[in-house]
Amino acid sequence: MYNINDLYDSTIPGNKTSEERLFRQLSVIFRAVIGHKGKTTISAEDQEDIVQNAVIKVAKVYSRTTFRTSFAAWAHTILKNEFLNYCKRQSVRKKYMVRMTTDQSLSDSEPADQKLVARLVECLRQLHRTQPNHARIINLHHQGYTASEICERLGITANSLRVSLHRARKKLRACLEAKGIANE
Amino acid sequence: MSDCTDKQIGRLLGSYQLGLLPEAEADAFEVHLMECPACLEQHLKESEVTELIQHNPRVRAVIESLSGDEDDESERPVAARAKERPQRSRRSILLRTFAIAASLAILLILRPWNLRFDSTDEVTASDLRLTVALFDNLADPADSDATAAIITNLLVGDLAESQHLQIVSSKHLQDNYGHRPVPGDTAVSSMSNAVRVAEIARARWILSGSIVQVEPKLTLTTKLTETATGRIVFSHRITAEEGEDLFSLVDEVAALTRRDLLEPLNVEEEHDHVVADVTTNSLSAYRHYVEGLELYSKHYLSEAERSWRKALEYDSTFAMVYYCLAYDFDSSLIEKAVQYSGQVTPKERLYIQSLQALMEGDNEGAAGFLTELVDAYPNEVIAWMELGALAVSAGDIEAGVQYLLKSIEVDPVYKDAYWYLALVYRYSGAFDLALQTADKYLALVPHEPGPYHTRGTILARMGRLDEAVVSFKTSVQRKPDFGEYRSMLELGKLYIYQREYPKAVECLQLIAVEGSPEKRSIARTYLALVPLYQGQVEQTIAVLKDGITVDRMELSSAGIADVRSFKHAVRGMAYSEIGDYSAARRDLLEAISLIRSAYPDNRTSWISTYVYILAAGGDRTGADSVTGELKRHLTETASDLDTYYLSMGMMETGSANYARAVEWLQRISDPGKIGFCGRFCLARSLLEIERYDEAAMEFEAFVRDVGDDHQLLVGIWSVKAHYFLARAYESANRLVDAARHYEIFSDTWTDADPALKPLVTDARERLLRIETAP
Repeated sequence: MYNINDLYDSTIPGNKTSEERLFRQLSVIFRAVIGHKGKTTISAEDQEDIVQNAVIKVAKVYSRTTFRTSFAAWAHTILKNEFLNYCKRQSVRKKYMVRMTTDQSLSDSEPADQKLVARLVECLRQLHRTQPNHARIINLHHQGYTASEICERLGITANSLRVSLHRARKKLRACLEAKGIANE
Repeated sequence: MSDCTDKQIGRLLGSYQLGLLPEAEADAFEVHLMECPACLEQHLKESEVTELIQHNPRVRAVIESLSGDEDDESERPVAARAKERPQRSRRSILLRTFAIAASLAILLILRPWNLRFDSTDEVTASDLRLTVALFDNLADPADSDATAAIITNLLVGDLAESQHLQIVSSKHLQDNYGHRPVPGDTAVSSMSNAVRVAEIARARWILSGSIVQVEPKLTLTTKLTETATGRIVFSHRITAEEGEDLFSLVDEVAALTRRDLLEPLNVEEEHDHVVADVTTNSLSAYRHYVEGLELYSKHYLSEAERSWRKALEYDSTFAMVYYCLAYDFDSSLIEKAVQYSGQVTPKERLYIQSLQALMEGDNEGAAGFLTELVDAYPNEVIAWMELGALAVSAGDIEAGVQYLLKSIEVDPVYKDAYWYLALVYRYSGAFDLALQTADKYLALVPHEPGPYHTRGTILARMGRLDEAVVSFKTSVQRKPDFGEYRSMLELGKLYIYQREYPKAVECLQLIAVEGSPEKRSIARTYLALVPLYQGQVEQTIAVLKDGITVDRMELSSAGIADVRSFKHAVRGMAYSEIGDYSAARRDLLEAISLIRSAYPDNRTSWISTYVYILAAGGDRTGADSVTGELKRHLTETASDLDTYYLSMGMMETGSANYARAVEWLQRISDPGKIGFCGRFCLARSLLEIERYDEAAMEFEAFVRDVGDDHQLLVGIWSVKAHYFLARAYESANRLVDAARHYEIFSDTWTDADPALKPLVTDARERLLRIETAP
């Protein structure tokens, strides 16, 4: 991975190789951003549509645009506008269908890395043994509860939640990197 | 974080992933992600874990088992939305909302909600929860004038106005269990039913009574019994004085009951209405009103309408009758209901206001009135149901389910709530839940046709045709014209799928003779589908020609343009199958014209089928022109482009540009909009571009979905689907499956027209090849 601005600087418009490198990484970043924004409300197909539309828009005009801030900021603006346009076009009621479509599309996607799954399961159990509340928080968070809803359910402040979740994810991350979970 | 290009922002990764950053900060962080390879890599790595935590079944199971019952999936955040109140004859408006929801959300699959049909432990036998037993008529055991029923209804209505008392009418159970008072045994039957209801509904008290005499003076006795002990705590004998009538007596009984229950608890009741002032002064009007309610509850709509209209002959100011008629039969009557709403109870006024808002297109306003209603009367089961219907029509299926479950909790014997919930589950694709709910409905009213019809529709959608046939047959046995011959029609359709053609014709001809003009027209269309399903296109065209002629004579109302247009669309598709594209085009244009005459704003109906025919007939220019116009219309009206994508996909299929067809059809974001023809074109196109597994999946879903009305209407394609599915299986080397579907196809088209025979011959040859392969 590279700093996208550096990639942009090294890209020569018309040079297929350098453009390909730039837009390949741009697509990865765009997917990550839209995947995060629309993880519970937009299907994988629609996410990809948004990404592709944004990339195409960038590709069409990047070479003749002067950026006030940076290429990254400008490209981000294009992506954000594309996302907002999508949201305007969609009605709220599609949210539920899309959620299931997302679930279905995931089942259609490449099979999960079974080693990762096994490691994740093991780490979640370890996390629960040392900090049971963290497993609950992770569960609620990934079910789609908002921060305020989680706080209400657990009777904790937003700051406590932020700290707890950060620690839980950090421990999970560390465990996944085979460092074991240490009690705090 | 090492290697992060800007640690100030980089440390926000965790907060960004948690969704805790305000928008501006989130934007800034996203730009940082683009500029910082380290953070981007970290985020991508964790995204993979996030995906697993959210969706991998094995990981989910572990998390849920670790986090315990508190995080039960059935209490997802959406439950909170259901409680928040969104900013509804219940029959056809509910069904109309379904037409909308179904077209948009047919493929929605719900998470399995935990259905609780019994009251929870939290609903204890409230001190103020009361069951009202159907009064016995000792003066006339058969209750031929329905006096007992009237008194019971009036009492229930009056007492239910109380803000303290919670009323459950055991009349539900009277109907539910088919227990009608038996001459000489009335007291036992009514009371035992009431006890049963009281136990189910956890009602502490049972109010029962008898009509002792009618002449010379109307005399009632009442008693208040404690459910658990059977102890009679209060009893009264009330005789009408000079000038008093039944309504006055009911007022008195209600007042006494309220006093008996509320005084010991030191609860003050609000102003008590005089029953006659808030219903009608006419006993005959009320009798017909109650009769209408009873018929309506069994889904006998025409009969209910007749009763209500009769009620108006006796009292033309009866607001709630106008309300009932407006709900399902004549929406203009809502104005009358509003006009006379000074003579209704506060609760009924809210119902009227809600319906008025709904008819003005103000769904939020309608929900608002209903919300006010349930706030004041938390046990008003119908209001909960109607809130559910409004939520469903707004696309909030999960909230709708919550409301319906609430209505069941409030009144566990209210059958309509089960009926409607089963409908919601069915349209959402949660067939197992739908069937469970339908079975509960059936258990409540096993003698009525409705639950069998409901079960039949669910079983048909599940592909369990034999069981569906049994269910519909039972419905028809109980009432041949149930649902205006809806059960009979469904039975006829299933017989077509089962290739029991004489039985299908028998069912459909009965409707074609005895149904309403609209139903007769529908039956004539389906009669044409009998030969169409067998590949007998010429005969189909002939039958449709007759049907169209009769339609012109019988049907003048624009409101049934849909019914008439279907015949032309079916005939058009039939013509296209034998290569007569000119005739096909004419029919599709006529179908479109009929719709546009009736609904000038509708610029999309039949367009996708039309462009398919244009393209298949070689008129690509014409097809492009139509799709261009469609896109312009959708853009100008700020509509989504799904119908355009569908039309483009079908056009490309017609032009044999299968790869392009797939691209277009897969752009459709709303699965409810792809429709039957779209799905067929997608499956066909996938097959042609050699994506055999995907094609097989699409065709499998296709042939399974026999409950879809449109499938039969494109009869040729619904049979061809077996042939193409077999081809997909064969190409994927699933020879046993291939053989099975070649056989189904060739058997169904044994007597097909010569124009279609080549396909049958090909199927038979392929079948032979498979069967004789070493």
